[in-house]
Amino acid sequence: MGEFILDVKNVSKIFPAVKALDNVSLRVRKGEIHAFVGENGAGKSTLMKILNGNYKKDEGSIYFDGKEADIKNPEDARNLGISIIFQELNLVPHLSIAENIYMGRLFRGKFSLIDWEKVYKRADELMEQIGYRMDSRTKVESLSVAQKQMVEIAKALSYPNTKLILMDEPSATLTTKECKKLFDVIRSLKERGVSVIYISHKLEEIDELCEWVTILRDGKIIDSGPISSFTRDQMIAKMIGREITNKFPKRNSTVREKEVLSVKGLNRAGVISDVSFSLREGEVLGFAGLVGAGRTEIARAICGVDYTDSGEIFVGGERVKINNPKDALKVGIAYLSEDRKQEGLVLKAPIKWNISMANMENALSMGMINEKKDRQISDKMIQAMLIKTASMEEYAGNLSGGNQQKIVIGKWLNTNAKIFIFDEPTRGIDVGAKYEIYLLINRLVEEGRSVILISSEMPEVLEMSDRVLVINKGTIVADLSGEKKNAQTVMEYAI
Amino acid sequence: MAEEKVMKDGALNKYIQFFLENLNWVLLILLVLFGVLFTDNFFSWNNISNVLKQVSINGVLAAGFTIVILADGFDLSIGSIISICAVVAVGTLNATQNTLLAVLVSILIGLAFGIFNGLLIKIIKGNNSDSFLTTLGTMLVASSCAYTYSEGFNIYCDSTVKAYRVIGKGTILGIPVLIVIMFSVMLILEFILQKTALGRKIKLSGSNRVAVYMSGINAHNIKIFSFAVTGLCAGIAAVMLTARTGVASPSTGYGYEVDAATAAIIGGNREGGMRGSIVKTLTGVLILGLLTNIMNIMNISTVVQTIFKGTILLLTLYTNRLKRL
Repeated sequence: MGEFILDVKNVSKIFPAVKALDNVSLRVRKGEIHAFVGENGAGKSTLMKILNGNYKKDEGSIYFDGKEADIKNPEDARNLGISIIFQELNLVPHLSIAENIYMGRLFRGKFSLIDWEKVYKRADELMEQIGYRMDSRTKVESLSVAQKQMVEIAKALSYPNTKLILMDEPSATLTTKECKKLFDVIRSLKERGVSVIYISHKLEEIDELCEWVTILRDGKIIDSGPISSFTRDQMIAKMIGREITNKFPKRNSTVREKEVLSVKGLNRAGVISDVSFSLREGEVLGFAGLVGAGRTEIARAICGVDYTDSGEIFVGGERVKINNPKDALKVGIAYLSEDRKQEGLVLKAPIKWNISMANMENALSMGMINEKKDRQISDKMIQAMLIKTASMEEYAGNLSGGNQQKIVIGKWLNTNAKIFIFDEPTRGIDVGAKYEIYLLINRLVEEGRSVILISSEMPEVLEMSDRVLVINKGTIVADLSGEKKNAQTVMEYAI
Repeated sequence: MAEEKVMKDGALNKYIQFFLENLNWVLLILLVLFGVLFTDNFFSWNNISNVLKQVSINGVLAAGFTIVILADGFDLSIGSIISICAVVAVGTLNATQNTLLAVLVSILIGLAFGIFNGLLIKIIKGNNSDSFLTTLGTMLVASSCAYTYSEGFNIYCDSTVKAYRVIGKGTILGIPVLIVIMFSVMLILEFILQKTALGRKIKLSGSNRVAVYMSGINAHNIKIFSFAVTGLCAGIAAVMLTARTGVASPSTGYGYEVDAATAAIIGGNREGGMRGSIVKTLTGVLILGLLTNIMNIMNISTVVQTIFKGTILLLTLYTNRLKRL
């Protein structure tokens, strides 16, 4: 028992419509960096949440450090020595780093008053231990995503008995440099004997960082073994259950002459400066750049979500004024936000409602909602996009990330939008669904629509786009096509 | 967080959810049973119409309030709006001897205050908690308007104008006018809520304002609409009240917002809830009404009655939160 920190035996978890985990067994060694891979809906998050006490398992047993563990809530998990770092970070923005780390456990001094000196000192020490020296009095809201993540790790380590840290897609929003820093920190955790379970879709990262990998599919463990024993293709094949030879679907150039969108001199003080570009019919225009370079800000400015100081927008040759998303939709521009849960969907509403949300007129007759039309539209979209769901009445919040994204796409397809701006469309989505979304993008442009693709995944933005604009510090620094459209050149301009 | 709540489920939870969803019906049935057992002639037309008349005013208010709650708002000013509408209505009635005009004036003033509330919220781009404060402000404004207009005095309806009092005491085809008004308002609002695009937009924007905005729907106008509806209902309620009692005062509507909110919530409606409906509100209104009725018959003091009502309100606030939607 001494070798393994975690021993999961025959654990199952059943939700109303689906068996999320089916007789899962796996083991994690002490001081091991262990990867969980699998499509969305495969069960990785469910397993993490059971280990962290957010869910209760229905069958099976869990042994932690040799003893059987009954984890009923996150507090139990903490007491055992299990910490979790969610994808959506759990920090309070307007409090300081130290207050976040020691939330609820601030050191008491004389007369039971808070000993702030000790709190800040200890917090500073923790941050330094990780290798990220920062004044712990800094308010969290002023930190970058990468720095916030470090705070989360420090928080996990502030519990002296931490033996296992669960990380859910920690690198999704990090730049390459920040990633490297994160990996260094994780390796130092390993040195101290802390085990890390690392969930990620980025197989290159897992190759670089992790020693052992467990592959899940449809709630079952497909395989588990040392990283070196799998090739990339083998891993993907096991994740999906079928071989995928091409990660990106082929497409003939569908770019036409007509200019559908032209942006001139877009400015917003401190955020965007002098952005000008044009988009042609049938074109996929990629926006590449580092996280925080301003790509999302440009998209939001075009769609009227954010204000602009100056600039002109022309759609189909005519000057338009866009003050809000409604105006944008009127001229045929659809924006698919990078935060699909908060900005793209109403999670508590059924799929049907989400799909018709942007264009309810389609489902009306005489001012009233026509149930039949409504259902027809939803049916069409669900079929067209291969959305996996038991029924269209299912609540959007119950679907996996990939399917949720498809609903958002379906919502906009149900309008007369001709220009689609995708902002990180495949973030947090598994390989299989990613491919399906690429197919959808291809189909869009084949049908004569135009796409702006904002993506931080180099292969994705390079392979899918006809042309790539590199954005750096709020302005366009390069317009690459043909031979110049490659990773090297992009990186040169992006940094 | 919302995702976590939606996904947390198991076989047992399904039955609990079902129970919670229909808690209002359970309470209502229990009260009806209680009434049947402990009073004579519970199901007599006399008793039924009495109960319905009693709750009619609250019914109209609660229906309007439901729309605001579902749109993720809160309206503290309903009571004061009733007051200002009431005094101006009766004042107009006495001055012009014209019933229709008085009714119209009341409704228009209510509407105006409602739109005012909506515009305030739009200007500060507020959400649920903000509407608490803004409507608090409107409450004071409306209240002082009422006091100013009436100079602090009661205004009595001109007894020569019979038509006005018919609204409060008369019947149409044997059914008291008050009850007809309540059901008409409820019917119209329920229709809007369940069958029109506007109703769906109200529910959606109450649940996730940002997503709705990004999808090209004007979420602010929806808020304005919902506050306008409550204002309108307040105006209608003012007419009903003054027609029944024959008098208007600057404190006519005092406290009515509490019962309206309580009824809507006890019925099972929830801020930003997708399953809200006026039917639920109706059950809440009836529950409140029957509770009061029964407690009166049992000679329970008003203090204890209030404690009872308060407890049930707190309970349903909690159970509403437990519901998935």
